[in-house]
Amino acid sequence: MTDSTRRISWLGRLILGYAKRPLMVRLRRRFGEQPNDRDRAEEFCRQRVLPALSHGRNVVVDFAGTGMVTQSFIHALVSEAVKQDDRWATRIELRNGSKAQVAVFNLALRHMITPPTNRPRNPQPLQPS
Amino acid sequence: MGTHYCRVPDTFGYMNLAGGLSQLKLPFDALGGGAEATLDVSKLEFCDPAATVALAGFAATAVRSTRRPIQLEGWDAGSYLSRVGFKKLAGHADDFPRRRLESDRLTSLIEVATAKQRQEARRDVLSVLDVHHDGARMVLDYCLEEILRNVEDHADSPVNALLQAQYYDKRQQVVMAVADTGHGILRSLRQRHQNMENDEAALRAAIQPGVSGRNTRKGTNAGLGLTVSSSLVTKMGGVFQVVTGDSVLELTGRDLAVHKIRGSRWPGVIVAMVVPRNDSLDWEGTFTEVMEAI
Repeated sequence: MTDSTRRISWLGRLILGYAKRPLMVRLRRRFGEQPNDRDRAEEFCRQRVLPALSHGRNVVVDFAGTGMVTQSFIHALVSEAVKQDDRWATRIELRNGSKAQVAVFNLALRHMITPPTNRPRNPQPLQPS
Repeated sequence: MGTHYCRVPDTFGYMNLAGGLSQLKLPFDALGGGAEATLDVSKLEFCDPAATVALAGFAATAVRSTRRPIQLEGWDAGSYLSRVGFKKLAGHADDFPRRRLESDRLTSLIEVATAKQRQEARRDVLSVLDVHHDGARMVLDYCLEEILRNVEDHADSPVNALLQAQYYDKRQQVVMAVADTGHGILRSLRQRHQNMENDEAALRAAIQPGVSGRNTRKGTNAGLGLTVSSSLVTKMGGVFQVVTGDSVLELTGRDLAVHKIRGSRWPGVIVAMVVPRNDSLDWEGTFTEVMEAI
């Protein structure tokens, strides 16, 4: 390998590395200490999360400095993307999440990938008041 | 145009919404024709957050559809309803005679429309209720956020979500209630489940995961809000009640019961949550357990 091709492959790797760098989603910085604005989360998903995953990038969701998050918020943040290809869910990484926050995230993700039935189960008979 | 008179029973609330609403027979249907409404509160001695948001929901809907204040008979400026700011929602000037004290451990009626208002309302509720335990705050906060957001997503209500909460020291219980006067759970579910028979079936279905999930006017929705909130409340040893149409669903850790409202209907949804304040509970562990079980 000549010096010039070695240089090109080094540059190529650098460019490729930059293009494939993970998308950092710092929840506190983007959505505040109580990140629950679903409208903004949905918009962010369409504009940043979905394009990143579709271009082969990983997504890192950083919970540092945030309080309670709901499954609705998480759903809004990633569902548009995960519904396009549920394998992309494996490329979403969580950072600095408490046990409760991780449980909320997993609940939301589980129901995105395998929604229970979306149909009511057998109704139970009326119990006396 | 006529006048509709409703006498509020002496005790209205404390987890007897079916009985209270059956007696009250709020004339929602007459409001469309511009009829005036009179609420007689002279006999009312006890009222809890669930009953308060129900009365406030009716009053605010009446004021907004008739563009006239609702008539209040037997009004006591020092009463509970006055303390929580009911009169403003009924179209009158607030006449509560003293400064509202934080030590009262009850919130005023709060109307919530946006994400920012939801956040402020949750903060106010948790500070007034004096909940300092991190795990308890997280659970109450979670339930409130989900229930308030449900109204925004599904209700299409003439009034925004109405919220009121109180801490009962003797019973060591937190009671939080949210009401809207929108189209109710049955109509909301029928958009996807045309065979949904009645209010009772809709209530039973709404607490199952995913049934109410759909594309809402505010985006997509997993349909887990009521499932998660009801599971959290009952797992903590509390009671979760949902009212819609002619039915009231009551969930505890052991039972699920549906009661009928006789001769009347609630057009939207009322959710009432009674949560025991027990600082020795492993709130965070139970929260995680509930999330993993659904």
